[in-house]
Amino acid sequence: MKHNIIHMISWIIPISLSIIVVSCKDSWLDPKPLSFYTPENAYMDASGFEATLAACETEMFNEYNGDGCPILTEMIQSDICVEGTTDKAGPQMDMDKSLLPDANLNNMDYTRVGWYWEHGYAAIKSANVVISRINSGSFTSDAEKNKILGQAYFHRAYWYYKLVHQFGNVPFLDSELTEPKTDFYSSDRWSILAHLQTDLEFAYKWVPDNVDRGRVSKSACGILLMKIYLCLGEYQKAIEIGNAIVADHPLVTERFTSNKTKPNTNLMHDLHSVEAKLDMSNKEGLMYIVSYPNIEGSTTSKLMRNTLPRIVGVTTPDGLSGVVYTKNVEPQYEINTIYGRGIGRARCTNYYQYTIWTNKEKNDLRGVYNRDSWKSPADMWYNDPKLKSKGNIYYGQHLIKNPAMSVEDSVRSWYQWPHYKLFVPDPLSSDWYWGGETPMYIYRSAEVYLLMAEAYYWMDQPAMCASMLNVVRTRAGADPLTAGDINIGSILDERARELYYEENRHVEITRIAYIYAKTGKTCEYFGRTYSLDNFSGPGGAGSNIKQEGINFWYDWVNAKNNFYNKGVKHRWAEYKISVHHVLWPVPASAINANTNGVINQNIGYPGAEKNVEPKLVSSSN
Amino acid sequence: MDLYSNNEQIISKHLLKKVFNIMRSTIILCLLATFCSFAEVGYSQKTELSLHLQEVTLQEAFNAIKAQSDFSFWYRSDEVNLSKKVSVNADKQNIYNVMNQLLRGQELTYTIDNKHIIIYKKGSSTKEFQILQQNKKKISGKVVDQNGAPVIGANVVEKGTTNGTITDIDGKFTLDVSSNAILAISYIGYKANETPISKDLNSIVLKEDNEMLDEVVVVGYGTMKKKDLTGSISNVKAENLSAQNPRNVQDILRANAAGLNIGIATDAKADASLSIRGKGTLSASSDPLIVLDGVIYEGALADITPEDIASIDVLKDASSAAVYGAKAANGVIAITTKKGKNGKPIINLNANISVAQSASQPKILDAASFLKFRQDYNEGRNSDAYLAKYPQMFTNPFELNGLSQLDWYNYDQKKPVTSVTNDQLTTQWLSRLNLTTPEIENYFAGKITKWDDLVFQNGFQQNYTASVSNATDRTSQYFSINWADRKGVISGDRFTNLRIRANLESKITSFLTVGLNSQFSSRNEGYLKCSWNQMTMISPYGSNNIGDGSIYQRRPTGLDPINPFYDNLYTDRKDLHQNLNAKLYAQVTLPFGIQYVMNFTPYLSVYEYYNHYSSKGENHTATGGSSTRKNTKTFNWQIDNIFSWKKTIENIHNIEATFLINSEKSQFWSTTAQNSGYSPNDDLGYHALQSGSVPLVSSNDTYQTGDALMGRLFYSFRNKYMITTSIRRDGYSAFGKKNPHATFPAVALGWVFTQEKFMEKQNNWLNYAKMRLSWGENGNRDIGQYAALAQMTSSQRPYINSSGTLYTTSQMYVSTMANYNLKWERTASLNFGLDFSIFKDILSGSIEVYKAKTNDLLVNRALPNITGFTSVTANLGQLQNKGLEITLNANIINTKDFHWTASGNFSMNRRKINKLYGDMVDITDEKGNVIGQKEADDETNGWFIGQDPDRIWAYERLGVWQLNEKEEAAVYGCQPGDFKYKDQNGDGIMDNKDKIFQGYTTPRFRWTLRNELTYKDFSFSTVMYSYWKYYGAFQRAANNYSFPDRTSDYDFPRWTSTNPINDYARIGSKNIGTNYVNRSFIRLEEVTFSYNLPKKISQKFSVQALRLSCSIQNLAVWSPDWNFWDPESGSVTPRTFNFGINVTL
Repeated sequence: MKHNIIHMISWIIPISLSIIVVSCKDSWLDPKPLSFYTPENAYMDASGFEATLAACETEMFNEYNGDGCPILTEMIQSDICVEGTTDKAGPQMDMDKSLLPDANLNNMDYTRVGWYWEHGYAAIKSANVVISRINSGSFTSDAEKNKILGQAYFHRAYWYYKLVHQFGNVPFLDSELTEPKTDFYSSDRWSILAHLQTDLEFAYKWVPDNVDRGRVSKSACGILLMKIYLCLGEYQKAIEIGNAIVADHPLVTERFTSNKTKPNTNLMHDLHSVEAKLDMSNKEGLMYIVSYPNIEGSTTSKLMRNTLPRIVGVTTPDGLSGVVYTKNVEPQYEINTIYGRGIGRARCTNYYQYTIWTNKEKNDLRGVYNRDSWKSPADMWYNDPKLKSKGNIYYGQHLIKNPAMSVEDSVRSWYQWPHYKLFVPDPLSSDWYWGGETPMYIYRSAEVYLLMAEAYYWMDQPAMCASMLNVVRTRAGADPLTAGDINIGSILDERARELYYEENRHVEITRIAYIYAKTGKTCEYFGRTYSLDNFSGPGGAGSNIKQEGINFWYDWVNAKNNFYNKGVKHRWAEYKISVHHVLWPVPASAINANTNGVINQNIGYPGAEKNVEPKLVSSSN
Repeated sequence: MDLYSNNEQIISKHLLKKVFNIMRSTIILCLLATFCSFAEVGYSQKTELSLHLQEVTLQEAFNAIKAQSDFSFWYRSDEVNLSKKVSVNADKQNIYNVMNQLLRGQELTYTIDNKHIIIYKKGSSTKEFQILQQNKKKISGKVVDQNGAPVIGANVVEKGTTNGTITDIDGKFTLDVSSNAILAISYIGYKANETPISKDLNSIVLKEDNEMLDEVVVVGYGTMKKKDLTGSISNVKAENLSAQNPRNVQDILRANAAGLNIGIATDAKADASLSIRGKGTLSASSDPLIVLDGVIYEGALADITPEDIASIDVLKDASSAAVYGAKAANGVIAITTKKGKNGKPIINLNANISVAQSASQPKILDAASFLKFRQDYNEGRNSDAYLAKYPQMFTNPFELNGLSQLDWYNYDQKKPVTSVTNDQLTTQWLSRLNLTTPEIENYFAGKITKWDDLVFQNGFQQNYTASVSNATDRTSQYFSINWADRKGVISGDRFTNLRIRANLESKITSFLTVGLNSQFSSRNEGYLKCSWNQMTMISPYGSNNIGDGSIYQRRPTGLDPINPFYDNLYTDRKDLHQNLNAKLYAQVTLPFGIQYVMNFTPYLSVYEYYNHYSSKGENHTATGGSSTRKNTKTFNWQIDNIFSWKKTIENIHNIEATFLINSEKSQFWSTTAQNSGYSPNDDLGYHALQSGSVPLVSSNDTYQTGDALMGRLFYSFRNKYMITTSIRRDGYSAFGKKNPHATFPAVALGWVFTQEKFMEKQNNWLNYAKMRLSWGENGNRDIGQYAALAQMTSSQRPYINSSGTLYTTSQMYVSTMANYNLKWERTASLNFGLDFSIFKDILSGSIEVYKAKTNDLLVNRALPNITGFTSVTANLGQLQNKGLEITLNANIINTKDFHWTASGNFSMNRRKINKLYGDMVDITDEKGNVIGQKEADDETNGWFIGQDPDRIWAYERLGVWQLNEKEEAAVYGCQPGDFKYKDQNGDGIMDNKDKIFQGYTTPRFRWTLRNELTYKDFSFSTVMYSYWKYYGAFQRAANNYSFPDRTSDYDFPRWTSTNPINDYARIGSKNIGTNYVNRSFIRLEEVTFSYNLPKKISQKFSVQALRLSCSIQNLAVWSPDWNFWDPESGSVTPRTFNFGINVTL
């Protein structure tokens, strides 16, 4: 028996000891990540860096896609659109109430102002990771390395360009952060722009033009550099680059793609179709974001949901719901799959629906006179098969606007829209066509012409300005302008005609406002000059100044948008803007979490009294 | 002279003591063995002995016999010479043969009374023995407990002798005793009883020992007698609660332990959250550690059959939990399952059937109130100018006041009509109330649908358990199988579970015991609940059109609301969890009294989630059907090596030492495959993913390791003073970069001060009291196994190449910031406890006071989002918990047939953030001058220095803006009828400066009360519990949940210009803040009635015991301020009516 015990111990103890030994080995407790990369194993060669550039491109994509996507905020904080969802509290209608630092600033049912802040910096983080780690990667050539570095510079500049026009002076981060930091300060926006200029000059030099669609090209770097040049008064340099870009990227002037024979379409339908962006003969695009049905990583654009009126609420005069989005409608009255279904998140203003389409645009393929290009609720039909089966006289007739339609309903359900630009097939939806997956343009050479026109405008060369605008106008069928027609309005109007749902409308108007304020150039349109000193007005939280002459953004939007400050109101809000909304509120969460430093709040919002002098960013790399 | 009356002279004191020691240490085993021998014919005849002894002492020979048998020897020490050398040769001989050999040639003889061998001088004692036989009389009786249930296996001894027996399965006994004998009756867990045979012996009542001081509780890597405890441990006897028909572990624990908070179950699965004392963390998990049969358990609580549980111990204070160190900061719940019991095999069958119905269900709008709702909405949403222009626009045209129906009709006619029919008027009216064509048709047809009746059901539930247990000297077994099939109160909700358990133990040799505790469960959670909340979305005029071929099958009104049943018709889902948990163990007795236990605990979990959305459903037609198959496997193992050593020195010093070496590894693999766009069709569902055209795959694997060393020392002196100390060193791979190890110490003291001399005078009322004081540190590591690393998130991004072809490539970004310094959150806590029993155990209980500070909090520290990160996981700050727990047990009435006991507990916990990130900010006076510094709060996370993280920091709601406050309301973008919040600083802007500290979102006090009444074979019990003083958001009072022009709602009160109330807003109001409402409640959680069929009757059917029980769970809840669903869950909560039958064969 004793022997047995000894025998037992002789094998139990070694087992136990071996466990102790295993346990005590340091490697036993090494963390082993299995299914995700860490920076240490991700940035070995070009493909790792390119994957992170792809992350920047995902942020770029997300601005334009999905329900209540951020681009709508840029459109609503301008002259072309207002928030049209009049069935709930919260949306950005009365900016005095909805644009506050503590408010919900990143929510599709409120505003996406905060999205630009959060995701702009998220993309900058990824770009900075690439920039900071570029020297630790191994590349096949300096050219390859510089291409990637240049593309990272582009992405960083792409977002800072937006941020300095949306939020003014913002913190500038130029490298990867590897540990928690809470001592940030805002940087002077002009010095940030100067830094971006240097970066983009490098990028323009090294990034090749021939890249896959969705990646950053030389021309993309070029057009962004043009915008920076405009900001900084380097108009001639902007024109030089512009000319180089358009030489390689002519506008499309002939009908193309498989749609070219489709009835009730025109060149503009072709240019903005899904097929156009996959067509290699199309050289007009400079930078793309990519998405496509059944391709992984794609998401539905929700373009029609966001931008079309909500006509489902339009009833027949005898009180029946007459519009259906189901499959059993007669083909000639089909609405769902031909036009899509909207809820009116961005409702076109009269400026965009009527004002900018003058006699000179009678033949403009982009304009409301072309009823293939534009559609109105009155172009749709009462299509509910039930009406037919009951012998209702309204079946198959065009929709009739109810004379007793309430303000809410008319804001939301009765306006025209540029069908050629907003329709995206939604083949994976068996229900309502909200807008499917599609590649989109971020930059086209049409905008390059418009930027060159603007450069000539700032250089007081109206004839050259007109000739640049006319390249774009002529292609669309509009009458050419003469030097005498030129003022800042001609540029802004043309941008609205050409770049709806493409440009950041608020950013571009603000850019112009900054140039007026910086240069002191007289704005002939209002007969005023502006200054940087009181760009956001006199300030004071809650003062909500509605006085003209302080900044161009307010004057222009107040003048052109037929909702803001015109007494248009409904159950939820009155449409209002104030001068300080030229710049958006910095989200309070960013300021609050930055306990050891000061991130400035913009003048006019609560908290601006704590501001300190912004830091200067050095421009040398 | 009576042979035994003078037993000191006959039997040596020493021997007697020895016998009793043996008896005590093997209590049940011996007793049952004795019992068995009584039942058999002559142990002495049957028992065979094999002895080959040469020239040994008589004592040695006796010992050899005892080693082979249960015989005991009785003799007068002055008559028997134990050192006399004897020899014996016996091969399978009976005892008589052996005894004859042993006593050969001696002046001794013997007699055998069953197992007792009495040796006496030849001749001298025969007479006495004769007298004994003559004077003895046969008595019989029955021993029962306070509830009248028979006590099986109780020890019945004639006082002052070793003459005794044990009670049989009916509690009955028979014994030959002397004429004036007194019976001493004892049984573990009961107070000793002495009854003279002159009294009525037919129901000798044994009283439960209420403190259960000898009760054994789990203390982690071992057990301890409750009287030796130094820590704060609550013990719940699961078997006592079986009549309540518990569905899971949570049901057993709910309201049964002070300081343990169990959430409420709402669906068929009946899962509920658990937490012990206050939440001691801000970001990490606060789930307690589950220990099953002494081993840390990683599986789901749902996998444990409640009927298999013998008892549950809740380890609350730091020193109790400290032996589990790094995982134990949130307390420990130790579950012990049943084992086989010696005796004849026990077969237990348990069946419950129940019906669950929805409780506290608010009403939804009926047809008439729905139309009024729409009218109020439309009148409220249009401007005064509009309503002036179109008076009575939304009024029923047949109730117009001073307005012609034609004028009314022509409001919205571009070309006014000259005549109008009644149908046209009605149609127009309903259209103005936003009813769609199908709704209008149903109005005319009088077709009204009560959606609440359709989405809720009476859920039928069944639960069956069969178990078999038995044990022999060498082996013990417990097997059980359980089948649960429960339907929830929401139509379509169902949960099934098959659970099997096998607990086996085998004594291989005298020093080695091996065993296996294993459980398997197969849980099906793939049943699809209907979308019940659509009941408030679809109007009563929207109808259930499924199967009618119309275009309104999925969308009954053609608009947003979805038929709650439609999508499930075209969804095929498998959601199956199959888990195997086992503990294999070996117990080895090593030299020097050291016990060694090795536990190997593998856990295997397989999860399958297969889902198919059929293209036959109208919303999936375009995708051509889509399917997902997700397979995950988890495999964990742990090895515990436990060394323990116990020593009692002179009955004064008790020493116990425990030492642990542990290591663990946990691995997880997950594969997901998806496809859509099936051709030629998707009829094969998720079984043929290869037929789809849009394949997607992904995988996610994880790996973690840990190890631990632990030592614990317990010492007690005269059972009066006791001390426990422990130290544990833990390792964990999540912190492996820089801080792989951490050490957690603990110490606890106990003092039974009623045993002190100076307390003797108080013994008349204070029967027992013990003070306990403990301190210890515990860790929390539940932050995610890769939290310290910089993680990159990757997915696919499409691009177009130079030939116009789409392709995808990875996009990847850093999603979490690295923090290699990450380490354990440490909670140090101090616990003071007092256990007491007064007035002869009429009232007993305990009081616990504790204070815990958690340092190095694992927090997702808010970062300025310009870093691209919103937060980083870090160890910062300090959180404090303190609280009080009182537990009381009372024996209110205790008569022969009627017993009433009550127990209750009260607990409260207070939390406070002492420190956060250590960032200092200036304090300024009103002029902006710096007057000092303070630590910065984290407003983003709602964490404030000096405040409870559960404190509400929000706008203060004052009521509803009334008509005369129109101008003031407009300052905040509000209108009359909207909720009114206070602009604290009066600056006209509602921002964080206007948020103030208000109530708390967690209860300030909790109490529970349990009453148990028994009368003969009937018993009745109730359980109540209450959470007091806490607030929850009730945003639906703003009447703006959805879009009133398309949907319906609950039948809430509402503000209108003619009904200017202050607690509900207008329909479609603008709500800029949060409406907090007091959720305090008292719940009658359980009412149970059970009946034990008398043995006399049941045994006629060969049934040992039969219990019938009825219970109602969640019978009633009273909440003075909260009236939207259940105050605790805020949602659908069942009331369950159970009927159960339990049969023991």
